[in-house]
Amino acid sequence: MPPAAGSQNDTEFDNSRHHADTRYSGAPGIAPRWRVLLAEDDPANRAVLRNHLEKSGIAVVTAENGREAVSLIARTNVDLVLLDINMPEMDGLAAARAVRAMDARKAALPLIAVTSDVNDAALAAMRAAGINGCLEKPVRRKALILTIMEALSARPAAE
Amino acid sequence: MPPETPAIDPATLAELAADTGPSVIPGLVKIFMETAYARISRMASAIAAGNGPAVAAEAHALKSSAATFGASEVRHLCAELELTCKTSLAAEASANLDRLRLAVDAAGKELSAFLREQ
Repeated sequence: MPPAAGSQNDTEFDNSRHHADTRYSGAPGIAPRWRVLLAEDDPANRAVLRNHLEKSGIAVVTAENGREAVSLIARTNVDLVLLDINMPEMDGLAAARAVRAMDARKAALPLIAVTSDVNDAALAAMRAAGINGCLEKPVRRKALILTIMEALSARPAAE
Repeated sequence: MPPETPAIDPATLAELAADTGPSVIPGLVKIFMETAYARISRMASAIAAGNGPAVAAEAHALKSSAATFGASEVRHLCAELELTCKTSLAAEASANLDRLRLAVDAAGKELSAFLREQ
């Protein structure tokens, strides 16, 4: 699904944009847009989150489980990873541990959990696995984008 | 008698529609409904095979997308199936799956009505 044509004029995020770098504006001739890896096994949630990201001018790479996500991270450059926690083959916690064991650049990637199970034990497990933040489903587009912007504002773009 | 959980939470659905846009929401609803029935079919197979953890895994995934679409009763029943089948197949799993199927039907009707009104 291509980014929405009007995403660069999205007034909903005008105030937030002051905290973003130029990649968020999507201005022509400027450095690459942010690229996010979305690891989510459910097709409906994957489609919704992908829509949220692309509508906001963020490029998306998708994975259907943790193993596929880890493989993609090893082979491609992304700026941030959104991780569902409960996934088949390899869950989000194991995927996070695998990323943190990669080379220094990959190991420093911001990892944000997107999950329907948020409680003290789950949050402690996420922290122990090296996950930086957590969004609870259902995820509103504004909350998603603000979380990403906060995590990425100070980082160089993936090449 | 406890109050019934609504098939669809209108506030959550309205937020989703606002976030995604009117041209996109019908396609997303279609994916949700197709995936929901596919998961119910896989849960039925897992129950027939006596595989509780497989039921729990499918229930968890459907619980997650039900939360996104505001399908409150589906979410509630999936949470129950996930909890009771996590380690072994619960005796009431088959009856709960029947209730879940009805809840998905009801959610589908309300989602269709919502789309018609868009």
